[in-house]
Amino acid sequence: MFRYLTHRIGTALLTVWITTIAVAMLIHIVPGDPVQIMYAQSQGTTPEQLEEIRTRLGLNEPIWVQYGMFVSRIVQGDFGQTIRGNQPVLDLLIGRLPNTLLLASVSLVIAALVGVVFGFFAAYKRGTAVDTGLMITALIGVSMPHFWLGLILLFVFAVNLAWLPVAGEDWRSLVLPAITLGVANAGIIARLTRSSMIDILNQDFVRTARAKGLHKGTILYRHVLMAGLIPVVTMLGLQFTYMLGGAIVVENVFAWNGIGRLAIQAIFQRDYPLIQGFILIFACLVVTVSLIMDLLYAVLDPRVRLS
Amino acid sequence: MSLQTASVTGGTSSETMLKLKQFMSNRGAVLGLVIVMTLIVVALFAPMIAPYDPQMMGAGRRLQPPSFAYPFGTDEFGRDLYSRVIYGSRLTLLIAAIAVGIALAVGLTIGLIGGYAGGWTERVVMRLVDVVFSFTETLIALAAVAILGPSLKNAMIAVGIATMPFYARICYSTVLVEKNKPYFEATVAAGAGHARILFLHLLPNILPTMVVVATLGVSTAILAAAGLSFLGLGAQPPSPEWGWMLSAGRDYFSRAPWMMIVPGVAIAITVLGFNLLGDGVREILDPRQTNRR
Amino acid sequence: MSSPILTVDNLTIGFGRSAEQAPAVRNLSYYLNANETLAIVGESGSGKSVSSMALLGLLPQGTSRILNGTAMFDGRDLLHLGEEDQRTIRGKRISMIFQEPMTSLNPVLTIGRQMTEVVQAHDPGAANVEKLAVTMLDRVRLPDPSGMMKRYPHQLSGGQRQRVMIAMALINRPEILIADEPTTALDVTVQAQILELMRELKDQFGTSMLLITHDMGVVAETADRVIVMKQGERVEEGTVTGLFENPTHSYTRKLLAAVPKIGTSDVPPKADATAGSRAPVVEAKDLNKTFRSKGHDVHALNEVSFSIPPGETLALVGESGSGKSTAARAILRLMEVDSGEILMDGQDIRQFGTQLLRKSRKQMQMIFQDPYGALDPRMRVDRLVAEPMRIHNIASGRELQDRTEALFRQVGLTADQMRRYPHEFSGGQRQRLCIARALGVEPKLIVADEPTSALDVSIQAQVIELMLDLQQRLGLSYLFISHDLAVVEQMSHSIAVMLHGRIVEVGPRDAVLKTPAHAYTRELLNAIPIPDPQRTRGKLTVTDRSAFSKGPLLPVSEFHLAAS
Repeated sequence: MFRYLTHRIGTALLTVWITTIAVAMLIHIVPGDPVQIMYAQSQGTTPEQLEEIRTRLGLNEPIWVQYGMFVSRIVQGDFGQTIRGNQPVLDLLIGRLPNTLLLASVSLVIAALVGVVFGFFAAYKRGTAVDTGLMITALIGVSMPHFWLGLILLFVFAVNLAWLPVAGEDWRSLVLPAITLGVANAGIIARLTRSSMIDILNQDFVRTARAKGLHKGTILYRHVLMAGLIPVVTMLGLQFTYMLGGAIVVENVFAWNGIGRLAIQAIFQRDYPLIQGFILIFACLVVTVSLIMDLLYAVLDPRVRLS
Repeated sequence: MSLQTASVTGGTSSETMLKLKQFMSNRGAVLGLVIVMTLIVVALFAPMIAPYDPQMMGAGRRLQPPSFAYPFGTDEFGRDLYSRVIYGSRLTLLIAAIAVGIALAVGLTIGLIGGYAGGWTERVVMRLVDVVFSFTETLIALAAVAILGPSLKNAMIAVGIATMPFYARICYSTVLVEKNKPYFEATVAAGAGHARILFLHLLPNILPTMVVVATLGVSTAILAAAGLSFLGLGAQPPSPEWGWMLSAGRDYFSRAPWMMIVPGVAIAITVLGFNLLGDGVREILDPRQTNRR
Repeated sequence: MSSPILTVDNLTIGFGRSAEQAPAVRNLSYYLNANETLAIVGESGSGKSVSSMALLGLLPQGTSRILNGTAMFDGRDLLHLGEEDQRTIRGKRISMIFQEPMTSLNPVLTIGRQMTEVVQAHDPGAANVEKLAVTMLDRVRLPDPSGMMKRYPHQLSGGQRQRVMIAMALINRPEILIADEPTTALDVTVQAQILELMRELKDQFGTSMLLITHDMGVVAETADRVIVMKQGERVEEGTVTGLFENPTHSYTRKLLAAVPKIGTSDVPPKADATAGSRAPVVEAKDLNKTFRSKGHDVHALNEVSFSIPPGETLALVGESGSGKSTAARAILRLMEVDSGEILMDGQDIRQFGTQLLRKSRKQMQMIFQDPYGALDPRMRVDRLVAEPMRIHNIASGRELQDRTEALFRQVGLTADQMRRYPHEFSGGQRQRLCIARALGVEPKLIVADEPTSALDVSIQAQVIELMLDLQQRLGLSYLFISHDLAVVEQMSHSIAVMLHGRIVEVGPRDAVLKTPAHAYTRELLNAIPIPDPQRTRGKLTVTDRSAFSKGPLLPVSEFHLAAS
């Protein structure tokens, strides 16, 4: 157990470290002169000013010195200033973060509820019309572009029927984006849950449980669901990181003020400090979620807990 | 039992026939195959099928609803949406081929080397792949586009890079499974060199798995590229790329809902086709899945 | 004997689409008396497991169908009961134990939970369930029964898990116990203990037993009556003594003849070794190998030394985890040892670089336990057999083809089978292919890792015969790895017994088998089921493994050494 945990924490730290290298290098991979590109849109920037910015960003230093400077700034919580508007990057991101987390969490709950129930039921009824029907539904859910689903929902329920607001910050504006993101991922979860549960149903120990004369409900709940839930939980963790990724697109459809919307704006404006900050924050989020899921996994599975 | 005991490429003709029969009896898979084949035919013969030039504008026929002359209606510049969707299929297939090609080529190489070499190479390579993988496709694709700049070409490359870790991980774990099979040890014991083991034994055995992954990966690639174009980070106007058309259509939703519905349905049907086909191929290549129907 | 408690009539079961045309079980009829043990014997594919699963409604749903027949138990037909009626019988009046102790218990529930739920499923208001479970765990002689209740399956050994399965099966005092290959996955000494326990508890609980097995030794020791099945049909039935003494059906005779019996075969003739040199083909000196597993060290090899003279067979014998397979892989450098020497022609192959090592592999080839896995499924068999010759540049073109064809004939296959793929061959044929593949480079030594243990007995006998014949004709040496002393007796000239990574006894075949000097060797010999119902074995003595002497090897007589 202790070895398992230290290993996981080690992996998490490694991920963050590799990300800092990648993010610090980002500005150098860009084809052309990053300073030129960043300020190309601003009027009347003189070559002297560009040179000054270059010095300020440390671009004239050797690459490892730049990396050192970058890390020491990050550790102190200084993610730099945005190019447009000169706002502190970290404050801006932290301010938007709760919106994204809220959207992803609510969507995960929707996706997990729908997906696990559909998947479990399809596995239990495998080979029947119920199974086929559920899986066709799931497949259609998986095949639809979620930004398209989002737009359709938006126009039907917000524009035409006017049941819900088109954009905003309250819970009513959360309904449509959460459903969009949730439904799109419920299909994936349903398919994975089904195959995981079918794996369990084919295990020898389920045959043993039947041979013992247990009630069908007991077998399904105590033996199949309990054992089958362990891979599903791991999968939900992974799914949450996918939701964070999907949130970037959905936020743009619904004008939901999360970090995803900020990120797309940053890309259009080539606001590199903001892009760097976004990737770092995203990395920390992903790593934290995976760590929590690994912990949960260890708690659920005695084979890990007691090793 | 695993993929390898049921071979398609390595089997005899009778076995291939059996697999073919099994595939044809799966209605979903056949539907998928029909969709994909239709799409390929449409893309190949687009100039013959499309009634109009996809870029031909006409001031007098803006935002026309679907009619006999314009089956899917027209857009804000009076271009025929039916012709644009037909030409768009070329872009969709091109995106799928290039993005999946990049992901497969790079992922296969990394997975093969990581799995076969073992030791430090394995640890370093696969840890890096894990790190990239944990960021999810959307973020990696965004980061790649942020570096390369928005364009259809860059979107394809970005999607290729973004989905590569998935291919690498599956390839890697398949190699590990193969390495643990007795035939691998038997080949080493016979005195075989690296090239023989890699290309004559490992590669033929992992290829079927990778074919399945690539078929299912086409769907992911199409969705991801469409998403980038939708955000304005992929195909640029006046390209008839479906994701971009959809994005352009949203400004006219109230007046011309077909502008958004048509490309969306096109994407969904295409992705559904590849998903059905992928599930079907997986079923005949993986006996563990076959008994479920 | 009293009247039958179970009567099966005309049971017919089919699978998949060809269910009607080619049923897996055809018109099977038998009866089971109270307090009796009935063995159903057959090789793989005989339908023996399927027919017993059908009784409890445990056949895989969807793919299999009961086409015909009745199974009368207590006035009711088991095959035509509703699901709920069937459930009340399962685990309460008829219970079952399975072959795979490693996977038959739920990994995420405690032993206690899995024990008590059997009682509660049939009697929700039962009192003192915990106490009853502890008592049962005690009766199957598990150490610390109350502590065992809180443990999870992965913390138990295979033998312990099978004891839990038995305790679970008997906790409701069923009238019938169905045991499907209950000891096949276990080591021979563990098997002996489990069989003894089952016999004992069966008498104490007054349970009848339906024993499904492929092992004639197990039948002879356990059963009262026997049914022999072949390809879904009963071919013979009789009392155990009658059947063993006077088998009427040719298949039964074939089965019995194929069973290796210890103490009946002569020492195999040694091959006329090439030109007089008696220098060992290979010599291992002081091999050591330690694995790190879950934080503690496991000595897989501990000062292991042996040598194999030309044209002779050395058998490495031991139970799972004894290090015998590690030793085989170490000799071929498929696995690197920590220290020691492996000498071939006086050179230590551990010092060889990649190129020399690959060349040295021409001298020694290996055949594996699993003939299904040892052949690359995507390569045609003629290419597979030719591969080692190609690698070592022995022949090419027309000559390679001719040599390959000759090898096919040499192992009893025909040239027209050359263009096929491995999956088109049976298990025995695949092992022949593996042997042909190994022979192509004219090796001096073949390392054979349990080459017959995945095969049915009748096929096993043919492969052994082929290996002995090839040794004679080609002057081969074998390093023969096996857990089966009866097979080892047929194959080997000398035997080394391994325990916990050490050789505890080594010597000529007869010296080790007839006058074993080490206590562990005696225990192994004692545990072998004897395929003769007249010869019953005395009470087993089970010694704690760590109590065996594991000191340096000291001579007992000439060439015969045992750990002190």
